[in-house]
Amino acid sequence: MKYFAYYTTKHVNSNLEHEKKILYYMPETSAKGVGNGGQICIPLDPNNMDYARMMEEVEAGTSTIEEVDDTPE
Amino acid sequence: MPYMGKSPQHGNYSKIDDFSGDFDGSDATHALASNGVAITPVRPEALIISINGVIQEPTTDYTVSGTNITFTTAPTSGDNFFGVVMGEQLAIGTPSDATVTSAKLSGNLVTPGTLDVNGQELILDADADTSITADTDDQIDIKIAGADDFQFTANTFTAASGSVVALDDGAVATPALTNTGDLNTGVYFPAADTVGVTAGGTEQFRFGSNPIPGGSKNLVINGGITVAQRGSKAVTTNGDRAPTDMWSVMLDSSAGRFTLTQDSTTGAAVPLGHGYSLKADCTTAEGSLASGDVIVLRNNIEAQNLQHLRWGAATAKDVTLSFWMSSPKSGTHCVTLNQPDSSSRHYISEFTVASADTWEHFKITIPGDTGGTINNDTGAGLSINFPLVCGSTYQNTKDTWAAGEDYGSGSVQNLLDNTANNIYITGVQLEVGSVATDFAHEDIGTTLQKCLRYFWDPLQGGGDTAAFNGMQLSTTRVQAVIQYPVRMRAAPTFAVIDTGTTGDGIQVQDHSTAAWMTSTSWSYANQRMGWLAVDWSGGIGAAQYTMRIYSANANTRMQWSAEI
Repeated sequence: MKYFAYYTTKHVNSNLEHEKKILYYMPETSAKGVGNGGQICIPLDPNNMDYARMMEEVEAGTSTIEEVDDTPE
Repeated sequence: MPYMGKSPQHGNYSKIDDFSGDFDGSDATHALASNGVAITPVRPEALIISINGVIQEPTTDYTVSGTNITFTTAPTSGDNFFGVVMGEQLAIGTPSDATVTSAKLSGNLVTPGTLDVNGQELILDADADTSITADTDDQIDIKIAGADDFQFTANTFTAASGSVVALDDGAVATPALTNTGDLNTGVYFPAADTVGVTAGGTEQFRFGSNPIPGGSKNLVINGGITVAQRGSKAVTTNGDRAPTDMWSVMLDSSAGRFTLTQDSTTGAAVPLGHGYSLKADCTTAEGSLASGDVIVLRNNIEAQNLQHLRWGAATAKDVTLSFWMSSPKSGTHCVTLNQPDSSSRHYISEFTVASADTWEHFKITIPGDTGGTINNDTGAGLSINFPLVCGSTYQNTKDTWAAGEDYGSGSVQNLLDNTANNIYITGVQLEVGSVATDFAHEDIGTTLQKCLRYFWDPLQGGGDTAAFNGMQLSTTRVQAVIQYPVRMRAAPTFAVIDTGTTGDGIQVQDHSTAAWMTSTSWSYANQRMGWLAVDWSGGIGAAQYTMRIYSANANTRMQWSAEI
């Protein structure tokens, strides 16, 4: 399974350096643009069972994560 | 001449009536009388007997027995006789006051009537320091070793400070402390440092090894199946949650499928005292059970709520699982406790269903796991697993703690082998100790509050819409800060459950115009709150309004899950 990791970037100092922060993850099957169906947003929290399961799948090689910029315009 | 002072005392002497007329040379025994009244000599020496003028020697020439004298040689006819009795057994009359001393008494004493000690101390032991006294009116004091230890007054028995009333251990059916009208109800002592309370011959609860906890005695949340924030649930994948909060499914390989519902059928389908049960209705039979097939109904218990079990220590406490079940099959069934923190250590227990499709109550005590581990964290520390399908890969030895993720013994049955099968479970209680006590019925408000730590659906199984206020960020996005009703176990997953049917879904609306959601974002989530953004494709004007985010109807749900 593929997951999308939606991240945002923001200025972290006066030199306009940016920091990338993962906001949430979505399974490909319920990701944005799939349609007006069900959607799932998984937070970055090791204690969250969905997050832990996703990372186990990634570690086992059965799932991948693709990052997507979700910084507000 | 009269005597001066006390009169001399005379013996009780009298002449024996002559019975020589009865002498015949053969009859040696004759009755003794004086003036026609039978006499009873104390001994032969109390008589002076003369035959033909010769004094007879007591014992040698005659003996006495009662009121008779027996001669050694029977006197013959014509022999002369006279005799004197010098004393016989007499009533001594009434002794003068204060004249009979203790030394005059011997043997066992029996009083012919009431013994009135008139408040005097009744000493019982040889050294005279243990006694019974009633020197205070209407009060009995029992003195032991010189100290008043116990006291009786009207309707009251008192053990003095430092004294105890010690009872025998008793038994469940014959408690040591009971009442005359109901001898199988009371208190008994089943083990050291343990007090059991019985009613009707059945132990109801126990102090000591099975203490009454300060909080809920039931470690299982929603064991009564009263809270079901989700609707009915068709189980298709591992990790599917049951419609009833805190219950989930572990599924591996099996083709068996079923629909889970919170069943509220009354009458025979719900055990007395329970309004709901978890029903698994088989929709696809597992007709060919493979070794790796397994499906279990599961209730996870958060690890930090189990620290008082002391598992992993020598003082690990036993737990007792009790539950109601209606199974489509009779015979051997299994239920298993698993410790995820201990590399899936498990303890498989068997129980026997007497009759298929009949509610039965089961009680199983599981020994504390001295070799186990339950971390002090927010993860699952213990899970209760009811196997519906259990292939040989997941089978192991019963009645022992062992490593591995196993759920049934070799006798476990396939409960999903027919689409006609329905399995019902309710009244699930796990408590500390070795006694299954009555189920702790909990008000639904309390149970719901507990469940909200793990899952929140604002519709909570009913109603029309869930709505939140948000701030319009652009012509296609609104954002709301969502604060949960209670602090959740972890940052929750946000899910929009949408049937995809036209008319279902999430809508946003400003003061005049509504639009359908196209996507959501769930950012900066933690255990207390998160930011929910909802996007739409357009049709709503400039960003200047507080907007409403809402589900169009009950088919669309917004849910936050931090379940274990």
